[in-house]
Amino acid sequence: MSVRERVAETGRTLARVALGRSLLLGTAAGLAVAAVAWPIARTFAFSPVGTFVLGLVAVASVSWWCYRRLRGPGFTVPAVSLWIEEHLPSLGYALVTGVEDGSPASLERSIAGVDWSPAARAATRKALVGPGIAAVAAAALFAVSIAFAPAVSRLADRVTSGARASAGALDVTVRVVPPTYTRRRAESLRNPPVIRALVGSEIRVSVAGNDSVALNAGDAPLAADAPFRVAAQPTALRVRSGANSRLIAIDPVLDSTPVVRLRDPVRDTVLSSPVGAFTLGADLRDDLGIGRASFEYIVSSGSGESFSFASGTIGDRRLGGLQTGTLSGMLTLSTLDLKPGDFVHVRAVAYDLRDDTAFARGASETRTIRIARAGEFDSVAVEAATPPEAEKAVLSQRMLINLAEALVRRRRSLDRTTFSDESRGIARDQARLRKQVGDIVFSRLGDDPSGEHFHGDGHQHEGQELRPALTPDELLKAAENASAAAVGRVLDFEGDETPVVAVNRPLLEAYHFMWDAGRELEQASPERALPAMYRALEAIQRARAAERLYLRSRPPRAVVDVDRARLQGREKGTPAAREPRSPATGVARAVLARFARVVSLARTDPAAAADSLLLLRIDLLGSLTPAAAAAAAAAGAAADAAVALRNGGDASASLALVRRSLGLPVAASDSLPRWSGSR
Amino acid sequence: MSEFVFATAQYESGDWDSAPLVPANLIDSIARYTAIPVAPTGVVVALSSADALRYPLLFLTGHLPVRFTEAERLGIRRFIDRGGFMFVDDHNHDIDGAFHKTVTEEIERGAGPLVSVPRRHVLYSAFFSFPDGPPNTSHELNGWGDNLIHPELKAVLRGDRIAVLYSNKDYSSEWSYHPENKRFYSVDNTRFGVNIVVYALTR
Repeated sequence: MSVRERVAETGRTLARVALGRSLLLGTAAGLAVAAVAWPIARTFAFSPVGTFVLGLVAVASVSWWCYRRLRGPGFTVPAVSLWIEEHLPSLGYALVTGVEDGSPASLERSIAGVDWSPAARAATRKALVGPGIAAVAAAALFAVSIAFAPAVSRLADRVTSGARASAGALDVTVRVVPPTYTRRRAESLRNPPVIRALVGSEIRVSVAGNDSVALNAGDAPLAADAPFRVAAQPTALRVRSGANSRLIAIDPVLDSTPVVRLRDPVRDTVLSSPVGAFTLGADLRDDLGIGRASFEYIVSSGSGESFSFASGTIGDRRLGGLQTGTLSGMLTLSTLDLKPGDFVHVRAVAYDLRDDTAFARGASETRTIRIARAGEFDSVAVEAATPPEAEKAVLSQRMLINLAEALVRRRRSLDRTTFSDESRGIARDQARLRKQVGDIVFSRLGDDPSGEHFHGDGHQHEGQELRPALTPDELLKAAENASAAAVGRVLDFEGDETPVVAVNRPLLEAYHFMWDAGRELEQASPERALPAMYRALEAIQRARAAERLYLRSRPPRAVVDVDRARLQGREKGTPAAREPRSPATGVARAVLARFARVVSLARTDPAAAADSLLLLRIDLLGSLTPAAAAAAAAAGAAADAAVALRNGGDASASLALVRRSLGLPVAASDSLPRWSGSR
Repeated sequence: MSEFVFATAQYESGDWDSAPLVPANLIDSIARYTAIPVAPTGVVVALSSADALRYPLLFLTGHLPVRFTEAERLGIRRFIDRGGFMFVDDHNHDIDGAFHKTVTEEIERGAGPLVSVPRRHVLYSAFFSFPDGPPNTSHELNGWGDNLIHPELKAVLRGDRIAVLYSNKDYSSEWSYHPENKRFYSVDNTRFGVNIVVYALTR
């Protein structure tokens, strides 16, 4: 082996030694870092995997740094020969010269017998022993760290949470894991007074430095190692460890139902025949995400007591958790086997990611498409209906007004006799019209249509025994009496047991004004008759408006003769007194009284007052309707006040806001519905 | 004391007026068996209208699919939150019928979950005693509809009070006849209706 080859071999040895030294130093550094990090992670409830990762990073970085420094320009033959010359000064630079190209052979022979391996071994020992000892020491330190980590953690907890411990609190870490379907990350919270979590979330509670933890949800104890699952009702979670306890309010957040808006078709439709197609379109929205959506249709056929139904879906779409989306489809009527008279009900339905509960489904408004029955349209055109009676009265009254106005305009061109005759002619027409209105009123009163017996047309009743005609005052009085009765009350009207239905008061007013107008027209004063005629017309129009029918249908009006059902003459008993319902204001008063107790407790025991405020918040959210904005505001302020009291801060502003929010709302109301109990 | 007025709920979809004689029949029974002051005719009131709040009991029935409008859903919620009682009856007597499916869905959406009413519930002893739970209807016994006898009623509760009573027994067909014809029955089949009204007025 030549001298150059021997030097190169020594260089490779030195490179291995440098690598070993670097690795030992890196290992020592990594173990030292892990030994420090382990109790810290334990104290702050970090994952142990993090400690290992940190240690490995330290090993890699320190080893790399050391090796780079030891390697220098590299383990080349000239560099290694210089290193040997440094450790064997007796060579006198012969080796450095001998390894150069072109050196004399005599020089190589002179240094062939020199052995520098003892120097290399000594250097190796020196390079590895120190780092090896350091690595062993670091490993020992790490083992000690693991063994004493709980004690360190407790000590650190005692040191860092001295203030809280003196106030009877715990260092609580809460891990909230949302339901899987939400695809949301878990989060860790430290000492939270209130946790807002989705219904179905899992909550795990741990107390720093203490493994013996007792949990209570409300009054029910929970297994310490089992997670608490968030229910729909607000809950107070009490954490106990040793003599200390902490109250945590759990506010459930409900996953809202998807909101679905049907864009097309825009409105309900009636078709003459079941042909064609409808474009369907809907907008979808959800707070967490929509799973799937489709259009649903129901075809209902039949009438009376016999109906059949068919249903199906169109345009199924999977949205994979999108928060908003659209749905489209096509409803082809020819595929539904529709017959005249059938209905098709269409709506859009979306399911959120839960997909397994009834509350996961949101639906749009429903559109109805009806297929007309045969002849449905013809009947309107062929069977002409007579105008209703009130309509005839309107036309006649308008005509009379026109006649009276024309007579007033022509007054100067007419002599007194002609003017008076024409005015009395209009008066007779007005009297006829009044009689028609009177007939409507009297037919409703259950009397024969001629309640007012009319003699204005000059006819006579020879040989007949007539009922004396009512005077206008008597007539109005009778009508007023009838109209003042409660709607639907059975009246025995002049021996006729026909029930009295509602009497149209505007029609009676018209009747009254027609009397006035007729009187003035009889006296040839049409200009003084006109105001009454106008008011009669206006009253008739009001009567028409009052008689409009509900478009869908009008059920037959069945009237029960209550007295008859009760076997008339029987003594009417008095039903047992009803227990009035608790007035709503009573709840608010009870909450206010409870709040007053909390405020007085805050002066002597802030921690207990904070717990009471959290319980009050839970009751407010659980017992009142979500729409009650005041309750929500009070609950929010109660949480703020609880936090302030626990931290020893000033809770005055929050407490004042709670009190203000709980204040009784000022409302003006003349009365409550009679059946709802006393106020 | 004001009169009890029997109110029938009117809704936009379906046939709300399918049992027009039920109100008169129940009014007759109320007058016949109790001393409760009662108006001789019922009224029809739109479910979405604030007028519905004037009545303690709303009767709702129909054959066709029911899809409430938002205003109607709000009206139901407001009505029962303020102490009202709603009696909903399936006029089809059909467990998988469109009315049953849609109206139960709408009730649960607008009012809350439907739960079974136990046979010992005070509803069955509020006036007459029905120890076996809700009385069966002739439509159930004669094999109409789904050919089943439904042993129980469902309800939406507000606290321990029934806010919405749902029947799948077709009382709408059973009670929709003129009160005069009640004399042909050996046992008046509307007696359970009296229990419903008395319960609604006293709980």
